[in-house]
Amino acid sequence: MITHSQSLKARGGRSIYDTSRPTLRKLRIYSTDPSMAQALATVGIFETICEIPWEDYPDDLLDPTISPTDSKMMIRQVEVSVDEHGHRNERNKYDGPAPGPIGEYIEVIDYDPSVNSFYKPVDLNDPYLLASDGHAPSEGNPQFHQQMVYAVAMRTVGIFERALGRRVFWAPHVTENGERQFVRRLRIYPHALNEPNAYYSRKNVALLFGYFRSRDVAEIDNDDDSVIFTCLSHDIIAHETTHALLDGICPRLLNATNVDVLAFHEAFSDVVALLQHFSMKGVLTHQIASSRGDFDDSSTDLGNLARQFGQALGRDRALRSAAGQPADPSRLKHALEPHDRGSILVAAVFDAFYAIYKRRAADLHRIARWGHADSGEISPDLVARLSKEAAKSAEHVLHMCIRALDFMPPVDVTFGDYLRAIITADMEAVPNDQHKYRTAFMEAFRNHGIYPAGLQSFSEDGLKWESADLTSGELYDGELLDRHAMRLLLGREFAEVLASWDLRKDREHVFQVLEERKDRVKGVIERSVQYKSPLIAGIDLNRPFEVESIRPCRRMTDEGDISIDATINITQSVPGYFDRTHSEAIAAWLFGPADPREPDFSFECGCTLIVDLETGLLKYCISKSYDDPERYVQHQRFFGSEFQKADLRAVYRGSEDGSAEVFRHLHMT
Amino acid sequence: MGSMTARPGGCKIRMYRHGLGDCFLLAFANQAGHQRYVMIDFGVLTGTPDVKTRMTEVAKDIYKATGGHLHRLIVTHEHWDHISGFYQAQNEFADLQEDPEGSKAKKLTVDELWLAWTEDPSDRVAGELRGRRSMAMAEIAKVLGSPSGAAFRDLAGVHSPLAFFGDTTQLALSGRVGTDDVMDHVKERFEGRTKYLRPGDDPDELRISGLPDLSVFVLGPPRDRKFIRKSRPSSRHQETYLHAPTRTYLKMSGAGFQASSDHAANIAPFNPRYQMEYDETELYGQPGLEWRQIGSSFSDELEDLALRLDAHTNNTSLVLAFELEKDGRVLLFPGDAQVGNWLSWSSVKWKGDRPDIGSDDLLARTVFYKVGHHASHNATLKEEGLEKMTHEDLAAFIPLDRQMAQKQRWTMPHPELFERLHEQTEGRVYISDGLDTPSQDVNFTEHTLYYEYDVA
Repeated sequence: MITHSQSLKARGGRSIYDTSRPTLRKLRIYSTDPSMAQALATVGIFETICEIPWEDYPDDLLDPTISPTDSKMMIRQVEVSVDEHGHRNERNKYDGPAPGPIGEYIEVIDYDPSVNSFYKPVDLNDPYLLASDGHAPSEGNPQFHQQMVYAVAMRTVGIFERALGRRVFWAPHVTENGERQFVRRLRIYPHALNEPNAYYSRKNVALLFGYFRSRDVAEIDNDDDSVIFTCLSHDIIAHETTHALLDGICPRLLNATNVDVLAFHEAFSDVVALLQHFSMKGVLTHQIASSRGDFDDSSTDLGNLARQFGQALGRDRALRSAAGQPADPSRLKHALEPHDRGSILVAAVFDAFYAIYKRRAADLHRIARWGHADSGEISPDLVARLSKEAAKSAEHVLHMCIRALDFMPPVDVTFGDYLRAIITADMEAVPNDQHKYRTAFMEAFRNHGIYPAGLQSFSEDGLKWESADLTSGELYDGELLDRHAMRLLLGREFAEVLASWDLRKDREHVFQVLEERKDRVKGVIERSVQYKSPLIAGIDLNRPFEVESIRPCRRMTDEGDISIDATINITQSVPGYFDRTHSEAIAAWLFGPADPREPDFSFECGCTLIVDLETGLLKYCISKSYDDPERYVQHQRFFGSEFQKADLRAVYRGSEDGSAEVFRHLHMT
Repeated sequence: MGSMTARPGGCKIRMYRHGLGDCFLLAFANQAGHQRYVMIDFGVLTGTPDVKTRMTEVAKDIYKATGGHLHRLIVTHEHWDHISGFYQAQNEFADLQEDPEGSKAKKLTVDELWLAWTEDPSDRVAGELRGRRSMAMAEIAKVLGSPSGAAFRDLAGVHSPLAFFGDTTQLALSGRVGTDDVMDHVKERFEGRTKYLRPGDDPDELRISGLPDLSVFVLGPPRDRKFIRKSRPSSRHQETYLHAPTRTYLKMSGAGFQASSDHAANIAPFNPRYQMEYDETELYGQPGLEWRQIGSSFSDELEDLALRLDAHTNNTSLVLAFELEKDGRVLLFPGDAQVGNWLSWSSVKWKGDRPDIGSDDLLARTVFYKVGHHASHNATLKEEGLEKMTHEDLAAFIPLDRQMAQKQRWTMPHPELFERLHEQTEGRVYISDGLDTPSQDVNFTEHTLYYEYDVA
């Protein structure tokens, strides 16, 4: 396939440009939030330039009758490609994003229900804005707000795509008749609420940000009565965007079935928000320079940094406790509220990150100490080197954390599962753990009391998910089944998708192909019931089950090879009752008679299959089995006590409506 | 003299079994065996069938049990499931009957009415609380009654917490009787014979004549507004969350229900030149994408407001501990007090000669616990509550109709609490719906209309 761009004269009579399109767009944002601009110590670094991809104008917004170049300075380019049959294809491309901004992943719609009006959308292709990296940070200009939510959300999307090696999807819209519709763009309402809250709404597939007057919030001892905007906090935007991304990847994580599930959602979003700061070069060097001499273990320069970052509005709890506090393994027993509990996981990841950073910077520490007294500022060179190590460590840790998502069980996850997923995913990607990242994670998690259940040994091999049993290649009638059955069946299904699994292919097309494949994959899995010993553990193939999602995943190995896996999530729900034991419930479900009552709760089961599409092997079957009395009892206990912790609303209403807008209430706290 | 008699120096308690709602009758006897009667609350949840018949039947039984005279009538708080009977069976009360001059024969008479200070018309804080409540109620009623509010009328969420306030839909449409009407009526008829109780009131001044051995300690509602707003355990945001009614109120008016320009201008955060009437991106109103619009989160607002309202009112519950001086046993009636109310008890100091009786001490001596708010999750504290009720004779009574609660989708009783109650009382937990066979106890007797318990 040959692709090359060629500038042609635009329809609106514009001149010909010989320069090629930029690949990145620079936009100004607040490094954390507006408060930094108000303090002398931080005024120099309150602003950061964020680099995001230079987007096309969204095809679906192009009005064929009016050229977008008519009114705006927009450059049309013709992308010419030649396909394998030698056919020449031409596609018009215009500079995006559309005013909003509206691009491929994000649409900012600035509707404010409180005043029942819209705020004028920012056009980032305005020549003045192009020349000045967008609007300057401003609280009073809603167009800057639009720019900032767009920039931070896009950057977060980019981190996920790089870590996962594929394009991301938002949660689909499920229509009234159960149809799953592709949602191209996450919608962002920067001024949706007139309350101190911000949340991801699955119902709208949107982020809703609130604003409020400081006098309405008791904790903020402010004499003045300024308006505070949640959409101007870098951490809040990154946090909420991560909720949306995570929901697109692991939809079942909104079904809390144990105390870890929602806490994981919160913690993961905090980790992504926190670690992103380390890619802001200006802020990072400033902080490392100003915390000079803090090389000794006790006072943590990066800890200070995190704390400072964490002071962003209302979200400081997890970050605050992430830094500089000694690990207390007993806290896990008592912290049950999702944010509290999540902060333990954040702290564990942060400790791992800090250990990795320290290891990477150890030589620099030694060099610096040699020949230097303990006074004065440290050399700018050293600052630069330390910043680089910190940034690199943060990036690696972030990638490890995100890659692990493909190795999580589909339902009923625990912090322990997450550790196992991190270790397994990293062993797949980087077999040789040269920098001992995995050891750092294991140690940090153990220090915080996070142990996976039923573990043989707390070691790399013990934590890695067991490899799938592939010796079961025999059918009952004695006929030998191709050991590569999974490849033959799955590989064929995916061949077409994989060929087009790159950034040029329309995401909607890929989404549709994957949706269609789900049925066929389901057929493959159903047929495996004829195998002598079950290929797939944890679910009963004779009872209804769902193929929840299929996600191909390309990984670049250390050796430079590309490995392609498919992650398949399968789920199954067993009716659970408070007054029935595990064996009673399972017997009724498997053999009947079914309990005529409405179930008290749904016992969530399922497994995640990892199939190597190159070799055709089923590598892992990570299951949450129905045949697990302990989990059943935990479900019973959790649903029996859920209301102790739940929102007041849940008590009055039952939780069934709650799941759709679970974050609305979570984030009120 | 009534048919219900406590032993000298002792006490008997009836929990009526008329539905999801509170009605308790207490008989105390002095050493000479003279009986004194106290009635606590008289209500049942909206939507209960044949209410009038049921409540009249209960009132007639109370007449029989007491010989027609109550020495004290206590109303814990202004919720329908605690006061509806004063309307539904008003003609059974000499003081409340529709025609005040009508015959008083065969009607219950009352010496004195006890209410929480939050009902005191001369108290400024109370006035503020009530003002806010009625403002919010009026707003909800207005919205529900307006054409655009029609869609919300059936919203289970809005409706359900408000069930405690009577029939809101009816209220909105026809201005029919609501809780405040009933409360006003009761207060008006008992004017001059009403005592407003504050935490820490001198027990000597609360003595019931002829009962020298009974002390009454007032534990709540707290005077501190912070505690009243606190309805659930989460610490940090709770207070601020509850600051919201005014803002919500403004927002409601601004969100399209005859928007008043004052309100809109008050909350618009930007220079008007940025505002537009229409959507320039043209995505917001696109056909087929209505599901992404956010205007409808208005109903959530309404619901939040309703919930806050409900929780505040529960926290204004009058909380009384009756102490039998002969052996120090305590009967605890917390109304529907929620977290904040409970937390405030430990700081109460009593006027009179026993200032230092601590709430912990009273809890430790409690032998009869009227479980708060039909055993919901946030109306019985753990460490600061139930775990401190360590008396070996502890019994717990829950006025609750589980079928009704299920219909409203309320988790009552809350399973963990229920389990713990069982342990603490060694099985002496009694739910008025009688769905399970009550555990056998020498002090317990079962009747169709009530459960009776002899505290001795």
